[in-house]
Amino acid sequence: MIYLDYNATSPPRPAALDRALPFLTEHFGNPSSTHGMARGPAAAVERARDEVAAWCGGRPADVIFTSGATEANHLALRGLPRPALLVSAVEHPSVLAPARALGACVVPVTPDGVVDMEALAALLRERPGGLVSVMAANNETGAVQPIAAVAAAVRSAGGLLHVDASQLGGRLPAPTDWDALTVSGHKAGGLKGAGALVLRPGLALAPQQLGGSQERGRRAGTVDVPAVVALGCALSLPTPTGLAALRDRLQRAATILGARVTSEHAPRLPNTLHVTFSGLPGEAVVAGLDLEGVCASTGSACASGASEPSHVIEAMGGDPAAGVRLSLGWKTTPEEIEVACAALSSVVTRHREVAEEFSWNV
Amino acid sequence: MSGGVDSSVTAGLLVEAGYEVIGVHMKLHAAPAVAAPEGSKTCCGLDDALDARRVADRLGIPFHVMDLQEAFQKAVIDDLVNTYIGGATPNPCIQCNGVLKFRVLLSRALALGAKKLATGHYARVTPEPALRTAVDTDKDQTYFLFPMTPKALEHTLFPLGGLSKGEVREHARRMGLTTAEKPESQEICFIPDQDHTGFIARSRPETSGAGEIVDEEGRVVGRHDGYWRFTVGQRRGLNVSLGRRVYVRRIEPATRRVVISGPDALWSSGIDAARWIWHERPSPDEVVQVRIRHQGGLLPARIGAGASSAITLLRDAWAIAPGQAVVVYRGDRVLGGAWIRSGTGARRASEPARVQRSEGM
Repeated sequence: MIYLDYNATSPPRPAALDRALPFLTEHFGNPSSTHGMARGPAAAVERARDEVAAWCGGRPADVIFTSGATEANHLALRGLPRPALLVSAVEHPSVLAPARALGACVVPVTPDGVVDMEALAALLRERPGGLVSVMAANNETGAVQPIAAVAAAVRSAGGLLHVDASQLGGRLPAPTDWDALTVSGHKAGGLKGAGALVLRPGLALAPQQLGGSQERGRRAGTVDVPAVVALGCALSLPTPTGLAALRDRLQRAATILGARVTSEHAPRLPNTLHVTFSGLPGEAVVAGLDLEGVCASTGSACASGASEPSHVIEAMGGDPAAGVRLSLGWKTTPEEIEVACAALSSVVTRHREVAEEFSWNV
Repeated sequence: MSGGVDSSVTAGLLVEAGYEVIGVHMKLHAAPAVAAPEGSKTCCGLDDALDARRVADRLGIPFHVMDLQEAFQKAVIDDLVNTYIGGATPNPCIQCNGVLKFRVLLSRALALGAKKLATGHYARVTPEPALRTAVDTDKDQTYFLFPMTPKALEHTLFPLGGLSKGEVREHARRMGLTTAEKPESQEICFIPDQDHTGFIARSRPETSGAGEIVDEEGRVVGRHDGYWRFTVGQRRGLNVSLGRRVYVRRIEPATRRVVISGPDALWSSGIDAARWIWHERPSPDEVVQVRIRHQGGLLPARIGAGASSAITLLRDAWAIAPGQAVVVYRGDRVLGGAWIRSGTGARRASEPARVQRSEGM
């Protein structure tokens, strides 16, 4: 199996796993307890808190551990003061769905999938003091958003900025200007089950989960110690190098097959390639790659396991059913990329041959 | 793999026979996001997709969901609505099984590099290639499958063709499949309440089907609120009391009239059918058997030469419904089939003065 779906989840970095494992066995204690068995876990959680804060330039006291990025996004959108709420059209569903429920205004994106800054400025003028949620980089296309410019626009309108940085860990440094930041553990090479919301010092937050004093009363519930430890460790590790070169190799192979590169003219995550093949459903390419031993994604799936038409590609004006996403990570090797290029070529070629032989569309 | 017992066992038998099997589930319509209540007879919904996935996991085979909603909309749903509005009685099962599965799904399967598409249909394919009836004739589904082309047959496996339903459930239990005791899927899976009239009204709110019910002399004897409520031979829902048994004889979409008559006028001695698909064309002299409804009896017939392939029935048939299929058999082999335009010819024993020679449509 060649794993090219790091934007869905990354294999744990060995160092992160090593640091997490003792907290599943001998150091099983609850970090909130007051006895000796709590001390190791509590210290480990605080070390992870320091590491998360160091990664994103926040204060350890402002790091709130959650069950993952989805919960962190909900906590930000529901817990921060918001006379108005604005979100970009390409946000992750864990932002878009609560935003819709809260009556948010959706900010359009350019055909390259980047926030339309003029539209944002205009919408903010009508909604001074609004809470704006824009992701640091898109999970489907890899497009990196101009967070510094967004932050400047939000500041001049007197608003607050929440940044979902789930896809940045292990790939790019964190943005520097934000009021609240979502972090994911397993995407960065940690474990599933931990994320964090980091706040700017002094920012008020209404807790959404009550019943315990954990996380300074801002998020009740026993902390998932192993996952939190792995999250901190993963973010403290050096970012893998050479991903962009491998991605570009894959991109050349796809382009030779006639693929269109999504967000081609935007800055992109170094590990992400999203392409469309005209007339070829993304899910067919993904299924074909799977049978060749290559794990890829269409970028969005529904409950049944079918590919959901992508709201991201739709917002960019593209064909929401045509995308294939290949995302690389710390374990990806040049040899794997060569095999993946060959697999992509045989899958796409075979689909075209069959389409030619059986002109059987209804 | 629909998530039902038949396709589950199909996959299991192929795994046991040593095939490299890929499970595929067709997503055909937008399922509600929540699971259906226990015991409800759905097909192709979220629960079915999850059941299919569990079976695939149990069998240790890869599993993929294919989103064929667009093709299903065109081939099955639009066809159903258009056929009813055209005054005929559609057969969505033929469109789904014969057309969607063995054209669209088959080409997607071949594109994945598969050599064959296997399904849980009760039918058999022999090497000629020929489509043949299932050994369990009560379960035979060849009526739905006649649009399969010879090329499709070459790429098809029906592992259940030699089994009874009881044996299939037995295999499912033996293999430990969660779908072993699942109920049969319902008739029109995308209309959960089976209210096709309401479905058409919702699909085409701009189209009104209300009109008159007339007898054969053209006298208005009643009114109806949508002619697509009716099919040839139907008695229920007419709500006219003429002191005799009357049936729908003909539907005239242009005038939205439903023409009724006594039972005698519904007999036909021939069939006018169109859009023929032949696997092997019989000679005009050969006595073949034809079937005009799913699980209906076989009628001896001859097929005329010429493009129209006019069918002469050697035994009269009652209530031949436009829009349904006529499928031609020689013994257990399907020779071909077509979509019925109308019954032709009067009952040989009836009074010629009362019944026109050709109804036409």
